[in-house]
Amino acid sequence: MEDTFDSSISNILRVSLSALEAVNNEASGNSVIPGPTVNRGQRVRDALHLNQFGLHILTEKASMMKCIQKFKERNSKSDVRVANGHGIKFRLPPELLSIIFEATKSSDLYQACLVSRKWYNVGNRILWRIPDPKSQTSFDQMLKGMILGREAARLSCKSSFSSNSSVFTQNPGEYIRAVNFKYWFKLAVQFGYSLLF
Amino acid sequence: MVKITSSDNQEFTISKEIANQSVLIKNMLEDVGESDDQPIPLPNVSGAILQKVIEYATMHKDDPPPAPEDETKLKTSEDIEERDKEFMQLDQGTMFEIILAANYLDMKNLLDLGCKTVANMIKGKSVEEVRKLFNIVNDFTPEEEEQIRKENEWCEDR
Repeated sequence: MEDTFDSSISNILRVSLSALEAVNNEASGNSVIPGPTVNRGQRVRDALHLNQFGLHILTEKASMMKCIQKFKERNSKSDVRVANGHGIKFRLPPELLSIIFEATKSSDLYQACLVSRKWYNVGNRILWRIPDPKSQTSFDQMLKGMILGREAARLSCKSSFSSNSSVFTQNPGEYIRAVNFKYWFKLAVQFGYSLLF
Repeated sequence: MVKITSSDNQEFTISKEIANQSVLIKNMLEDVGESDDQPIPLPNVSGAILQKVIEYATMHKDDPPPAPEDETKLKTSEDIEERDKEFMQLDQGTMFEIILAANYLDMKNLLDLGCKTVANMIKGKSVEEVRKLFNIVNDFTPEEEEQIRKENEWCEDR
């Protein structure tokens, strides 16, 4: 399971380095990147930022893997808690819960996703459909969440007990339909693409 | 006038413009034709709830037809009319029954109102507060909860 994680990281680093190289080559007259010209300084900043992000994930790897590992161990035990007596009073079916969550702003939806499995299953796909990170920091956290989510989704698919747990069967990146491009630095498009598919 | 009966056999006589706010009833009326004065049975809605629904429909009978849905516009729970806010000041049980009834009767405005009201109840509350409010049991394992927190921490309010 480590290999896809490592490949995510090396992917980030590779993209950032080749972007730096491209900017460098351009300076010497060999344009490599087709398409619209982006301000050179911005591209250097983007590449460096992505590089730092990759290194950050690398240092965080141990704690991220620990979290996933614990989740995996838990999932492989037979005592996974089965949804028990969902609130008697709260009897709205998923399709109505989904209308409620459409009208809920993301910081509240974040809390709602932690309420129960039913709420998570309805809420998480809405939360990720059009992610609106409020800053570059939360944008980076979002990419990190996508890496984590992809790993966990992969594990749930493998786990023989996944039928007990209806959560974590989907990679959050798959829900994304549009992104706020303000913080979506150009290079992450290449990298994000590799996370989605 | 149109006659409708609830699940507990209460009969209501309402005007056509009120009845037509329910797409379900409107379609039924079109299917059976004008002349039929048999009451329309609504087996999924109790009399008490139907009473509230009719109250809402009466309040909104002079509303202009709804504007076509703007898909690009983000939905928000902030835009509730004052009279609707007052109407929705109900106990939780009744509120959920009304939402279910609005869904069954296909009354988009009332359904939206109900859902926005619930959205407003969630607003600004912690996970524990929401569970307590709606009497929902936490069925996550601690590991799952931690995993979700990590995946979604980018949208946590700071």
